[in-house]
Amino acid sequence: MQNQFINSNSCQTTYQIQVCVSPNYQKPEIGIKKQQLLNFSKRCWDLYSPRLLNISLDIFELGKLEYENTNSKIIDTILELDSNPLKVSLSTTHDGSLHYTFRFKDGLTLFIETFLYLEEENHTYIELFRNDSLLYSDHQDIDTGLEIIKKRFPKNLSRNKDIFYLNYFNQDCD
Amino acid sequence: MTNYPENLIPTDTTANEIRTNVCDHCKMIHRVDPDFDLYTIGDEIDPEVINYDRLCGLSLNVLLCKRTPLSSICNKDYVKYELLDLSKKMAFQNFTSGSEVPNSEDINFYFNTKLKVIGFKKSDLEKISDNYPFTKSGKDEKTYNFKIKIEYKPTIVNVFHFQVEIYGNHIDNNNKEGAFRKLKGKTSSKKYLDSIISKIRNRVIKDNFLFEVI
Repeated sequence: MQNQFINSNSCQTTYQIQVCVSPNYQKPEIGIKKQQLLNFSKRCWDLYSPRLLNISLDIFELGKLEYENTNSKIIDTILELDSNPLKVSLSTTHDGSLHYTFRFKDGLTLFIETFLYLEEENHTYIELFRNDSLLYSDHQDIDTGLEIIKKRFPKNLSRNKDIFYLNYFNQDCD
Repeated sequence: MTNYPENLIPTDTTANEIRTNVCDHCKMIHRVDPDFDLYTIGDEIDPEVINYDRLCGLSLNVLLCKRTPLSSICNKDYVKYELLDLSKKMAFQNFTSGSEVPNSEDINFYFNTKLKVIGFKKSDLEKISDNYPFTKSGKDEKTYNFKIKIEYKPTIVNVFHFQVEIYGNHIDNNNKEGAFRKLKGKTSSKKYLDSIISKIRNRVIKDNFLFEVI
């Protein structure tokens, strides 16, 4: 396993992200692990969350709370689905939201975006696509939304073939 | 010191030629702060290079398709000219037929070589349309429709200038008929605008059509 260090500039601050690159494919049976996704999403949060500070400290704090309360639940839900994600990203946006993207095989893409509101409950929007077709769209609180995703996500997709693309998430280099 | 490029100063002829020749395949380009990291950890163009908070009215320049004679004078670096001092206000003065235009030697500018540039095909953004706002499943809520147009808005210092406009047809005191009208960013209902922006952002990511212009 090789360690690569990528210098990344965001919001005029330099971050160093460690990404592990494997010259060999992982064993298919290893699968994607919750800890790997937690590590990855933490790195994304550290990298992109300063954007919320450009809006206000209050929005940043609210975003941090949302991230801490929901990130693990979102990852648990993703790991319960009938397919491993090929690509994952968590971003915070200039307009004050936490935005997750999960790409799966068969052209499936799941978006979960929570807009942060200081004066009212946060708004979570969910969209699930298969290529250009919208399979599902909703506006729910995060807990209800995640339960619905489990029900609506296509079933009987095989997991094994996906694993080959997941080295990218393997943050544990030891 | 070199002058501001003459090619950027509009004439009736060039403005008409751009207006009539721009097509779905033309590339639209947008400058990005040099400190912004264009690529995500996943090695895709970060969709946040577009400031969605300012998507209504976002400035773009066109790179016309090769079939158009004017394509030879389009230049990706034209978005790197930053107007300074009193010349700044020229960037906001629309050009219409007969408008008085400045002499290039009178324009105070800085050519910022550090700016990064991203682009996309005109039709890739304009094909995005959907309903809004997001509705709760199981509830019968009224929805409306939005669409995106990239409109030609030459200024007296930039004949290649276009603007992103979002049109929506939600009903309010100013629009009781539900006609499509231009949304004005922050003055529109936040719930409506958040839904529209979320849907646009998701489609930009899903289709991954942004590219770096080098």
